[in-house]
Amino acid sequence: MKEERKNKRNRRQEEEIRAFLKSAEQPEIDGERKRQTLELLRMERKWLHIRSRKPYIQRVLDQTAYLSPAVWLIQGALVLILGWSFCVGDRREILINLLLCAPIIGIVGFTEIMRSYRQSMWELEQACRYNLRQLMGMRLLIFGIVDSLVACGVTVMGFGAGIWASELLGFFFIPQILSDCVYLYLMARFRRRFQGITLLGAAVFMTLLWVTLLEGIAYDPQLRQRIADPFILALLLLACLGLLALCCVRFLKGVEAEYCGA
Amino acid sequence: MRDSELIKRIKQGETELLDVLIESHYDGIYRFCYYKLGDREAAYDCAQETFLHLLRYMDTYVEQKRFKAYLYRIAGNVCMDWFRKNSVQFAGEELLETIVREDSELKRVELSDEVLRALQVLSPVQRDVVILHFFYDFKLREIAQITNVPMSTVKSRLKQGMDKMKAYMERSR
Repeated sequence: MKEERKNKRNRRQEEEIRAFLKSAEQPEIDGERKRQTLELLRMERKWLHIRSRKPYIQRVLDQTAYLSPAVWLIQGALVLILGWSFCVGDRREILINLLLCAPIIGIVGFTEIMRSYRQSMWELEQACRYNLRQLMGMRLLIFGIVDSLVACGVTVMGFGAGIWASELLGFFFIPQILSDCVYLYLMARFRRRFQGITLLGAAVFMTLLWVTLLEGIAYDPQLRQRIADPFILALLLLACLGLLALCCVRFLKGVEAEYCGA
Repeated sequence: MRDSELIKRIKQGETELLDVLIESHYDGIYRFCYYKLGDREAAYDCAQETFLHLLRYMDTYVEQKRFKAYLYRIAGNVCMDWFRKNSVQFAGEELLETIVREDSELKRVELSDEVLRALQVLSPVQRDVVILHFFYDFKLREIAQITNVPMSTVKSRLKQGMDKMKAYMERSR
């Protein structure tokens, strides 16, 4: 009741003020002054050069033109190899091939990203419009999309060959994402000193690590059973994706810091 | 043609449509500057400066159907710059007292001058909110965008501004 009375009073007060303010005649505008101002603005407008703003998707598609065709060929070859393996290999061979290919998929994209970064020759005409962080972000997005498509292809082929989702997660997706995290960490750490050989070394190390882990898991049925739990695998996948996002942000921040002269 | 449509075409290269856009907002911006500054000459200068700023930054403006708010924000900033450059001291309560004491003089002023005087009683930030709310019927959310402050601040500024206006109106009766 008290609140209602207060609101009513406020509304009345507001109406009174509105009436008081609106009762004033609107200030007249000198037509000549207005014409002069508009004329001046018209003259200024003639010097104006508006650059058309490209939609983000268009900018991303433009970036694909600067990427080496070798990238797409290697990605395609990897998918073909995996497809062939799904067709002719037995279950064990398929899983090993998946595990071996997982770190390699990342290498292809990251080598290409680092090429522009390391040589400081990110395409000049683009660098005039966007900063390096945006360029790197767009390229990471492109490779993210391509890798996702590869992953979709692998999933479809894997299901066709009778591979379980948990096996795909454990033998392919998680190793691939974790490998990408390691590459991104190394790229952020070494920046321009980062060489292709480092990436290759990291890939070999990651492959050996996965094979060793696989061996370890294979000899421990209890651990194998626990890891094969879909809930645990899903949690692991989520954690890996989170880590990947974090690594991407860290890498892009590093690029930005370098761009700003840090 | 609506602002968003005009801006889309301007961004596509039809820069001559800027004349239409500017002309359609000129009166509103001039009056906003006038209410804020209380000085005709300064209002003309600030309105012109606002549109020059608009031309300068048109390239970076991203259309989100908030052009009016964007333009009034520029105008508000230009007026603040004018205040700073001209070292106009906010009179506030002192002015209110003076106005009430000069009762006989007050009776001679025109109605619009009285409104202007009432607005000068407010601090610049309160005046912004009161002008945008009562003269231009902007929503509080839009005023928050224009003045770049949280909604709660807009509400408190409006409340304080209304209280001062009310006090002024009662004393000047």
